[in-house]
Amino acid sequence: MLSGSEVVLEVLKSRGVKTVFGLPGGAIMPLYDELYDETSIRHILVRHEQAAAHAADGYARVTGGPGVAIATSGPGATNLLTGISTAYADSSPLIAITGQVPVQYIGKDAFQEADLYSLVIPITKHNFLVKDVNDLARIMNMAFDIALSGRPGPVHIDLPKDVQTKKTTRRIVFKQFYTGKTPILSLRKIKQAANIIMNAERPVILAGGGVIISNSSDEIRTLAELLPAPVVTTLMGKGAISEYHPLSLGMIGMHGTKPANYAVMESDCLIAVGCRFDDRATGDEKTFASKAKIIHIDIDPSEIDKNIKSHLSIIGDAKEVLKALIYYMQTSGLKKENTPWMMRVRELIREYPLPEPEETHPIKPPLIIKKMNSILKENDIVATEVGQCEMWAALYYKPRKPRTVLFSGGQGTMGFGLPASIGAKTAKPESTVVDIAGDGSFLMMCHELATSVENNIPVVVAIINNRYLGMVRQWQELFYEKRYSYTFLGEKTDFVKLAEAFGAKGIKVTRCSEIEEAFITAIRSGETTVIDFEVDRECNVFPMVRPGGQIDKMIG
Amino acid sequence: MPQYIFSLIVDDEPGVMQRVVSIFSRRAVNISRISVGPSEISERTARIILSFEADPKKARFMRNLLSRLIAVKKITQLKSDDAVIRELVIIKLKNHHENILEQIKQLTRESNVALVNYVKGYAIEISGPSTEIDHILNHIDQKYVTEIVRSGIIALKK
Ligand SMILES: Cc1ncc(C[n+]2csc(CCOP(=O)(O)OP(=O)(O)O)c2C)c(N)n1
Repeated sequence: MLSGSEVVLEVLKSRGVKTVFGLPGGAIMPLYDELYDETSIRHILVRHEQAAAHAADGYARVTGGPGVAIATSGPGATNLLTGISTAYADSSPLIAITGQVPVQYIGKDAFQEADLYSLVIPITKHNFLVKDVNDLARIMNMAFDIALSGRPGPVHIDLPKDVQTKKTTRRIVFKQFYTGKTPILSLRKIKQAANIIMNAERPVILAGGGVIISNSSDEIRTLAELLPAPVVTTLMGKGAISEYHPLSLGMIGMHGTKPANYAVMESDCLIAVGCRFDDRATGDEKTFASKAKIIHIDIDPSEIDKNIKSHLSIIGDAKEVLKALIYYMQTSGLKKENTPWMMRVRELIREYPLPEPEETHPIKPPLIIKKMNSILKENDIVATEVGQCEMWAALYYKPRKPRTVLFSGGQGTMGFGLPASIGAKTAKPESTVVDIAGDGSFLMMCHELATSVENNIPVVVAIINNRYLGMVRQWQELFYEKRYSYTFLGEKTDFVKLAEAFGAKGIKVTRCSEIEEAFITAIRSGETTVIDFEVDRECNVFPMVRPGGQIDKMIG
Repeated sequence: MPQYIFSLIVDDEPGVMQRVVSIFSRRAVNISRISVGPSEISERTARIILSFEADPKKARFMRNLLSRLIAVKKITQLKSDDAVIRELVIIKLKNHHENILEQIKQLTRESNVALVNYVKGYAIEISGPSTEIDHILNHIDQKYVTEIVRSGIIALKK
């Protein structure tokens, strides 16, 4: 009969898990002892548990499969919380396994005991405390099924030390224990939606993260070309359509593109797929797409009418809904026409291009991102930290494929980018992975350079070094009379030396002419490289909508 | 604001109440009454009956959020016109006063509230719809009462 630790590994293997991220400690030692001899699972030792969660999350985002993070009890487990919460906000299937004090000590304030069971309830899709080793196989399997089904999300398993060593007394069975609450597609609503869409004069497709999760990029493109309709995305939806496609208008919202925001506001039918109408995307909800009939497609009924009232909602997997819509419209003889709306869309693209960054000194940050577009290939991956760096990436980086851009969208977690890059690179070793970082965010997880170097998972960190907590500084400039309260980070930190201290390469770039070469050197070297781009310190991200403002009233 | 009553079938396991309650507390919705007991469906499930006040949009949101919980197996909304809704009340008497008994008997005769038990000199148990119980409790003489315990509601669809 198997021990609890063996059960855990057997289930991981049966689920195709090849890589896990973690850091051991007392209460998880039996599982680590079992991992020591396990040849078919690669364990990546991180330097901080939060990074294990972000890395597993990044791994999950680029593969669509689960990502696994392991930590010990107490502080090890609480260090995971920010990472779990980040995954929850972005519906990422993270499996977090933590050690716990032995069952008989639970609740007695034993050494390194923390009540993870309660702590994770609001930030997981579901969570378990395993008290009997005979339940372990069922729980582990359920954890995977739950994390991956429907709207994905993180699942936490709290695993007391004694449960890891105890032997099962029953044979373990491997099967699916939870099939999810599958919604039944309403054909009546599909027909209604199709009729609204076909009668619309100015349809717009809004693709959210749900399009990426449900792998329905092809359907989005087909629908767009069929109508025809332009496609705008949310931050999490970036990659849903190639941004080189003539119908792609980029991202909407506070830092959206003008063509995207204008198209939404002019639209008479907004087909919103797998998005939750976050306030950063909608701006003032009363005026958002106020001329449009909104058709909201989502697998999670609680998203319907939560932030924006829809005219029609369809609950279901985006891929199936879109397929049904397309089929219905094709069979009812929808004809592709060169409508006035298409002329307007082309006009929007022509009239409102993004501000073109000039080759000045000091470097304007958007220039760095623009140059990346020609350096990176379609399967390469970009992750970002949070702040201006992230918004410049969202505005100027043009992904060609889904699952090639990773943002901490819902939580905006500084420190996400580097560990997420490591996770992504582990899953896709043949892709170049670049973390577009702010100097502030990078310092939150910079020790993960050690993880990258020591485990030979080479990533490129491109620091947009403005010596400020830039996004906060931008708000202080615009909304707090330039009172830069505690946003200047000083200028002593030497990022090249810091990189070298971890055994990574460091490149400092101060001139526009060096940008390309730095990236190419970093990528060719096959080593973890930090590029420290010294940039214009007070450059702002534009265009911008005031918080709570109407999204077609843009500054810049 | 309208009152909503949900009957939930949930996994009977530690923490399930916390999951359900946190859905409400996070959205600042007050649960006015809640009761839990084993369900007849299986040993592993329990039934939670809870009521709260909200506007219809918020109530729909609460229902959808509850439906996302893995531990929640079934949600039924109960409406007063097609459900039996009951609350149990135990009234503890002061100094063995029995004067109140006649008064309560009279009030129950005029309403849908039933006098279900009388522990001589100590306590009176009544059961019925909450609003009618409110009415009775408002009319009895408080000077004979030391404590009133209300159960929260239990309810089932007709
Ligand atoms: C963990 C965390 N703490 C604080 C914030 C608030 N915040 C949002 S953007 C930002 C500034 C980020 O600065 P930096 O990483 O240097 O990027 P920049 O905006 O300069 O590109 C801060 C502090 C956050 N999002 N996450």
